[in-house]
Amino acid sequence: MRETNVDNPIIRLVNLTRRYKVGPNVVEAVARIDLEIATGEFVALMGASGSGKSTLLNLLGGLDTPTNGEVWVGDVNLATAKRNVLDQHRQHTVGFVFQSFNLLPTRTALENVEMPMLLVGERPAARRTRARELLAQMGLAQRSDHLPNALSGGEQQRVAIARALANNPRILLADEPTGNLDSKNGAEVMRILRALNQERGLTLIVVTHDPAVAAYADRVVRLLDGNIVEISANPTPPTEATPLLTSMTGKLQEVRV
Amino acid sequence: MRFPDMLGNSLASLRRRKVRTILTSIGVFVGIVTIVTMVSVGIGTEQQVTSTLSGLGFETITVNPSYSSDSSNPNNIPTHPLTPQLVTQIKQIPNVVSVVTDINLPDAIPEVDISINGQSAPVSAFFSNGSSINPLVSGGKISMVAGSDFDASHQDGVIIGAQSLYNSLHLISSYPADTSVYNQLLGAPVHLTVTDPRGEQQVFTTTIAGVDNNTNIDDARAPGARPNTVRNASVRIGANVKLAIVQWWYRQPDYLEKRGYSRATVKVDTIPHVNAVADQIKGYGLQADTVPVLIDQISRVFTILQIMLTSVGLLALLVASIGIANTMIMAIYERTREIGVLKALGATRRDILGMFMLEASFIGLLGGVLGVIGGWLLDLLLNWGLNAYLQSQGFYINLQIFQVNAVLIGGALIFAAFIGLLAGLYPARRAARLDPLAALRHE
Repeated sequence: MRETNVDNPIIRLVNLTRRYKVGPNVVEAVARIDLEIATGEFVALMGASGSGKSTLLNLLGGLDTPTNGEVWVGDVNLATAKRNVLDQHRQHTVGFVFQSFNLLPTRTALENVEMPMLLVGERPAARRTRARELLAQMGLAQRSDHLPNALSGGEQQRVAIARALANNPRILLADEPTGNLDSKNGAEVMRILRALNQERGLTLIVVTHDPAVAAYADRVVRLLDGNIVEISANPTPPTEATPLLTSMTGKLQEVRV
Repeated sequence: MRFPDMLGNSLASLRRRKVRTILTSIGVFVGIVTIVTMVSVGIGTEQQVTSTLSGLGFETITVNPSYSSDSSNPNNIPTHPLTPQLVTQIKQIPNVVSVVTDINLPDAIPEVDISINGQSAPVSAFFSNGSSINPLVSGGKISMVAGSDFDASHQDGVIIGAQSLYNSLHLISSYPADTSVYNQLLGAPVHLTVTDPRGEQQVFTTTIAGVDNNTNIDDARAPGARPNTVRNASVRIGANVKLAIVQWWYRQPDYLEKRGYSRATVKVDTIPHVNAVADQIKGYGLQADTVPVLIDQISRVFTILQIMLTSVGLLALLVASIGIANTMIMAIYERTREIGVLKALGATRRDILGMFMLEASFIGLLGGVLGVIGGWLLDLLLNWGLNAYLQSQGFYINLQIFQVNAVLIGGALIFAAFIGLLAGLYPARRAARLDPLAALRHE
């Protein structure tokens, strides 16, 4: 089944191809992919390592440029966009969450969350307030002045999520967000991501090879050797009786997104 | 990214690597210290020379006879002597106000013995020259205490330093004394005894024409010295007396016609006329030096000196800039992953470029600040050492040969920062162009 078209797509991939030169060989990491992702959708990209799922995520994030095809995010085609448009895209449209957290090791949790706002020229007072707010939502109000290496893996990933949200992106791109976490912390991170998706309408694209993670998604896209081999709608995405973030922080709904 | 954030970011990065930052800036420090010291020599000497020369008056021309460049001239007889006839001609040149001639005692006369009222002392022939006060030599610091100075119409007698009256000649009982004490000595008979190489002696009798505050080298060595501790007297001998001495010495009554005056100081009415008069004097085959020419020549020498020495500093800075570039490349290598993260978070090439260029500039600026402070301290030390040495050699003068000014300080700081900026250009460009994916994968 290849349900590639959706209503109200925020992302539209057309004949997307990305080839790499590896020594004398050319590797087709992404091969002629067509895919649409709806606004507010939670999509899991699954596949073995080398299947092209991370490449796809990087293309969506504007960190990589395709060899062929189109990457439409909203009304911008990243494939032909100029560098300043790609900068804007990374600054405002998407937020990244990495497997290895990628917090800046010399900066505190608060400073890490401030960084995207600093890069877009936000004033210190405003970005500090917003960073504290975001950390509080992640339950890290008490940890904001710690350096990353003083935080647990779960805490670091929550700081990274807060950082990814700093400039109010429409899309959150997460590459194996639970890959470096134990199951308890992994589950907590996934609950947070699911809540952000459900409660704020954040479009969420998560790369994973863990079925337990994919189980949170609305749709699962399976990749093999750069091709989409299966797209399956999750029949029973976990719905919570009480919104998770709300139960965690108690007042998320009041917070601006 | 706002500039203040970029600035804060760069400073924070440097603070995290204090030792490396300081070590890297040492190269700049050395270069700037060298340049500051060298330029300060130029500033100091130029100022000292200019202030010394300014007392001379720019409307003055110093005329000297011409000598052949041929060294086979044993008696050192000028090819174009400054004869009385030529002096008369010079006096008739339009715009010439006065001509003061002078005669040097021959180098072969080491000393002249002076005897006044039964007190005697030797006079160094070399220091007895300058029948009129020459500010080029005196620095304009000699003035008359009693009597009048030699000038165009007054070339008789001797002028004695007040201090020498006390500690060489013992003619006064205390120093300094009242003007009336000096005035009483005016007109007192003076006997100058010259001994020629064959042992023949001749006594020249003249009078004390004046007392000045000149001090000779022995006086200077012992300020306030007790009588008998200083041998030589500071005496300037009038040109007419010196003429009598050289006529006897060379057994040459027509000395002036044959050898001429040693020197003439020509005063012109206004500065714009100086060059025309000087050119006319040169037309007689004589040498005519004007102060602007002297200043020009001296400053040219110093310019060459400064260029040479500044090159040393520039070389040091070149090496320093390679050091900065190396440090920045290392820093960028270490922070590759950080650069990747920043790019993923939306940092532009400009942001990355700016951050690292600022960092490199700060390393340069730090070296510059340290270098300016170091150079200034070195200047103080060198001035102190120079003057201490001069004092140990008997010169009680205060020379500030090493001087810094605001332009030098500001220029050095800007230059140091610029060196850093330049050195950071290539590494920062490399950082800005890093592929974010490759940077993120970097361990």
